[in-house]
Amino acid sequence: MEEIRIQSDKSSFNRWLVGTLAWALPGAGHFLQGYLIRGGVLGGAVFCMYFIGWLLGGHLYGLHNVAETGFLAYIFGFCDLGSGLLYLFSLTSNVSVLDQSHLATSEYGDRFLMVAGLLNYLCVLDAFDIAVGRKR
Amino acid sequence: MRHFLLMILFAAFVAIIFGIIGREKPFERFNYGIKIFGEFIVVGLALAWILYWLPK
Repeated sequence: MEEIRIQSDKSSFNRWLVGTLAWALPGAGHFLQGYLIRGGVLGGAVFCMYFIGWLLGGHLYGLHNVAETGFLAYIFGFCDLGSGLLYLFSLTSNVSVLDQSHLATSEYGDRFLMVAGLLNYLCVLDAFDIAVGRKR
Repeated sequence: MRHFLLMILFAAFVAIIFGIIGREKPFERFNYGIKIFGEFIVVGLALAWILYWLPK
């Protein structure tokens, strides 16, 4: 009985570890479970969207610019936060933080950055579902 | 033209991820991805034309 409980705790820990890793590094959750191609494609797509968003002049929303955008900044910030360490690294190193609205493609860049985060949330859920056993 | 290319790029990345996550078999994934991609392009173009005729 004891052994079963310990095993259950361990797998519960693993699924949360997979979820956290999948959020932090896009595709890592699938990699960790042996789905190399799927993880590579999903992570690659999220990385590419993030990189293109940055190249287009998009900027990340954080709680620091609530005064400019109002309450929507929280929602935009939540979308951006989905990119995991990419988002945190960009904020700490001041990459894609400034609003570059003088560029014609800056709005596109914003959307690319946000959707990269949202898609990574979907990847996290997918990796978690695989870890739980709901998907293959 | 550049905006259209960006829309295609956006649709392609979203379709790839939706296709992989939304279906389980490889052929179904491919079909679903193509369907999502096509829907993005068609709806995007349709909305662009509707907005074009609206007064500024």
